[in-house]
Amino acid sequence: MPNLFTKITLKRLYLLIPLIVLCTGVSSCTNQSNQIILLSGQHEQTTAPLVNKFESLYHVNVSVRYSDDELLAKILAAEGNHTYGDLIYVENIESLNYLAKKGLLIILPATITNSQNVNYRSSKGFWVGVSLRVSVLMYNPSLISKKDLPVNALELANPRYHNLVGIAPTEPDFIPVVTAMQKAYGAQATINWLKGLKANAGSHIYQSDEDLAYAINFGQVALGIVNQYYYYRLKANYTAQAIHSKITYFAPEDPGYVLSVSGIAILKTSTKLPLDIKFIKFILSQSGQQSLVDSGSFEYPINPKVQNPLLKPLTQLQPYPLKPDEIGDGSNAFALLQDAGLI
Amino acid sequence: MMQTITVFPSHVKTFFNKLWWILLIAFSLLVLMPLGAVLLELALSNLSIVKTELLSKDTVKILYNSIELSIFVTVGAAFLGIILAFFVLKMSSLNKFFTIALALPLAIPDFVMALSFLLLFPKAQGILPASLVMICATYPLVFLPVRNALMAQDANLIDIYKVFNLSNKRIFLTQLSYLKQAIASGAILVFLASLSEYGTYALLGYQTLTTYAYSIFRIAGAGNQAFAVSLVIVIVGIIITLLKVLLVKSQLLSLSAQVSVAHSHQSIPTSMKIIAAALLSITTGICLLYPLVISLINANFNAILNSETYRSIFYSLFYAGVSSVVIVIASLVIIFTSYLRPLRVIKYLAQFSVATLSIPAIIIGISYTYIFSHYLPWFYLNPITLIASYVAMFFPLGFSTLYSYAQQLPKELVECALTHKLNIVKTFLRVFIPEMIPSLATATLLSFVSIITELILTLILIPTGQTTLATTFWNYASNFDFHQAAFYSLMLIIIPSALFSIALVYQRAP
Repeated sequence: MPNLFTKITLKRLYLLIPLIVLCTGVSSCTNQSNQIILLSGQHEQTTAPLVNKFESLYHVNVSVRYSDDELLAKILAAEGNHTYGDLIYVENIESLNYLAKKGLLIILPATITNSQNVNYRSSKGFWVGVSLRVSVLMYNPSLISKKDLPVNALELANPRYHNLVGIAPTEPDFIPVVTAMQKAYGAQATINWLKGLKANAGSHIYQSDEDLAYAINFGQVALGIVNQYYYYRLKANYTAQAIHSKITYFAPEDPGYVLSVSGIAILKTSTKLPLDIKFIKFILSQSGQQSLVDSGSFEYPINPKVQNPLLKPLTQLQPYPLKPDEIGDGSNAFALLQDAGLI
Repeated sequence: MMQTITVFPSHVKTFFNKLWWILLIAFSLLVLMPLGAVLLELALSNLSIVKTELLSKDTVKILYNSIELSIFVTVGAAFLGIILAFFVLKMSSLNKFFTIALALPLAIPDFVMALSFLLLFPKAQGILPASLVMICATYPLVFLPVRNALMAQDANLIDIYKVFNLSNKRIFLTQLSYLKQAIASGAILVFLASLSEYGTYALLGYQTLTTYAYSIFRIAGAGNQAFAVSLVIVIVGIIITLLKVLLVKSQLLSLSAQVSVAHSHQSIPTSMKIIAAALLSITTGICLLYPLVISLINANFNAILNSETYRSIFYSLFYAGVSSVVIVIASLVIIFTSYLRPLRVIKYLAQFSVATLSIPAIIIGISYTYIFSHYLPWFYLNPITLIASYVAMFFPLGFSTLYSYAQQLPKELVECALTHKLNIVKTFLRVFIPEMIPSLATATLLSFVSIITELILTLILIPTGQTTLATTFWNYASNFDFHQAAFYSLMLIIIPSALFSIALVYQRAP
């Protein structure tokens, strides 16, 4: 061993490390003219097929930086005007509203925004929806029978569900539900509802919908609100024998029954505007939306010409009417969650 | 204490001064940057919000949760680590095997351990499972230094105790008092690891300061409360480090530096041997074999043929390898220069830099994002940024390991080489490094294992288009694709384990 160290001089070692580092970095640093950088907070399983199809159709290289929505939002806020990315694609629009508020997004061309349903895009044109998810009540029939399930979200705070409810208060998917509750019943009633949920949940407070869905399925807790696709993804990844849970919907237009939007936007620092627009147009096209369905993400395609046959048809859903601007960057819901002691 | 070299050629002084200040400033900045960022963010924030956050009932309650859990884990890991270290050295056969097997849980990512635990006990939640998983994951941090300290002990000590007719229990307690230095060093690492852990607590549904800080980060519109919470974590880390420093300064602990500790291959009663073998086997079974088997059973081996796998393995090895080498080289240079000029700042660096291990990775990641994207854009989203952040985060781990070992070395060799006009680089390479070799493997591997399993910092700073085993594992696990995730967790276990085993097999006694 000593010989090894004496043979290699310190100088050579010093030279070697930056050389390797720089060589490895070359590929990541180059940003060619036919390349765009996509920051994705969406699941890789959803994003990758879209990117692959786009690359093969348009011969444009898409370099993807994967992370969590919120982490990406915080990273971009920290980077400010020094961002190295062109597009951002996220699961929840709170992150996009947050970035728009910080002045980090551009207004999309009307040719993109005008074709979309007003409920699925930013009113100021900063982002457009790509897919939709709906909040459902997931439950474990061995722990609670269907007849005992609440018909509206407000009932979940009822003491009769003590020790039966699980919640993921810091899951970004929960923010639209809290916002809808606030819109429907007011801030104080929402805080009381959240306090009731907290009391009923006891120790069943989870970090994410994935954890909550897993907990319900495997009998840690009887029921909870999650977005529908977590249930379907769980089903897709386990054998039928391992699935011990089901989903149901709250009463029509109940604030626990909300549609949330996954969206895409262009960063202010992007220098590849034509390619960015091409990518967004593709992702909203029939071809792009079909890729989304085929990826097994179990989200609702936003383009009405494409359907996911495995899901209850979007037209049959009766969610609470909630506009994207009402959700904002999640700070209102965050304040309510804090007041209720859930954060 | 180290002695100042009095005969000091002028060329050495010039070289030393330049090298010293450049390295010291560079590494101090690197290590202190995240802490500086926390303070800067707080200074720029709405102070009333920060004050409210710090004094809120919830923060106090969660702080209590964190400290309570960290104490449980530290006591449990220390107890288990000490007992196992004693028992493993009493085994006449399979000693080496158990040493390796018992050190290997360190190579298993905590979140993999937690996931395996959840598969066995799907309803497990709260402080008890969280403590058990963390004890399993961290006891090697006590086991390894205690075992090394035991091995370094003069075996004749036991005979002396026997002459005085001390019972086995008394001998054990006497030996224990000499082990305090090793136990304290290991225990503080366990405490800080437990304080800054996120994945295990998130999976097992136990709220601590770290899960709280991450929760706040998860809401886009939330303010700077996360930085306030991080400050609380850092303060707790510093207090604990200070306590350890005070303890080490105490009379009892200083003895251990001179009289190193307890080891003997003396025979023990058969009943005790059976208990020892059972405990060693059970710990190996639960903390190593079980997560390994779970990963093996669930792993989808089709992934082997996937280019994503090769890419993940390459980048994992590359980043962990380069970063841990940088940590070790930088530590060696700083420690070597401290031989020549024992400045207090090095002592403080060794004592307190370990507190930075308590800073949540998300804070380091965001602060580095800000600093590199604004002031060093050429390096931003380049491997250099990620390596620098790994070095900042795990530097204390390698540095404190090497520093504590270096304190036991005779300084005369270096003095002699320099006074005989051997130049400083040759002295460093031919005299100092060979002397440090027994501790190099431990320092490199501790850093390597921590880096290869790191997730949050990697997600934030990894160059676009690159993946590591940890990020690929996270990607599949967050999509309920546990078969693919299991394959990557298996890789995360096997690669560091193989390296760890090789290092331990060839490890020389101190």
